[in-house]
Amino acid sequence: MDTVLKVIFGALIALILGLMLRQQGKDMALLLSIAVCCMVVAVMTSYLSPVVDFIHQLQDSAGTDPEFIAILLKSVGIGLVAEIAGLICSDAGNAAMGKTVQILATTVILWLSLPLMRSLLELIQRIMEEA
Amino acid sequence: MDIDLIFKIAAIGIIVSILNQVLSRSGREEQATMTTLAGLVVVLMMIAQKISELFELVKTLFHF
Repeated sequence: MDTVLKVIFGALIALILGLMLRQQGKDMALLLSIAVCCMVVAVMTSYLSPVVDFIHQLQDSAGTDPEFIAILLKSVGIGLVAEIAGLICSDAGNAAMGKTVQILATTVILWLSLPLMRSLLELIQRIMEEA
Repeated sequence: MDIDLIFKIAAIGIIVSILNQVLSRSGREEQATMTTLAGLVVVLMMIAQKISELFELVKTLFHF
């Protein structure tokens, strides 16, 4: 709770400073917003690591293939980073670049999940053959 | 989260803008442009370091 309040306060201060810098030129304000985004995500990851540990614990107790959980976590990471990069691009008035980055992330996640789909297909085929 | 970085970037931005105005008022337009560029590069270096730190963090967290 304390950390959240601190982060919100810092973000608001950075927002006001960014508005001040924007009068001179947009580039410095943009760099400031990138710095704030990086810091907030860094704070976020420190809270996210217990969640990831819990997912690993769940995977251990469920006995699923560790490969699948790795794919899931990679997808989350790629989605997170690409979403932030895309939003920063859109913020700088370059919405096309931001959208393209997000489409790229979607495509990479799709490519990553190919083994999952393949194993699902194999499972369906096996069930159909047994039936 | 070290809030110092935000204040540092804001301070560099304000100093650069003041220098820019002073230099352009005294008729040294090219020096003003160079000052703006230098400030931008300095801040960009700081941000690049932060971004690489962030990527390392995300990589270790999600087991890339």
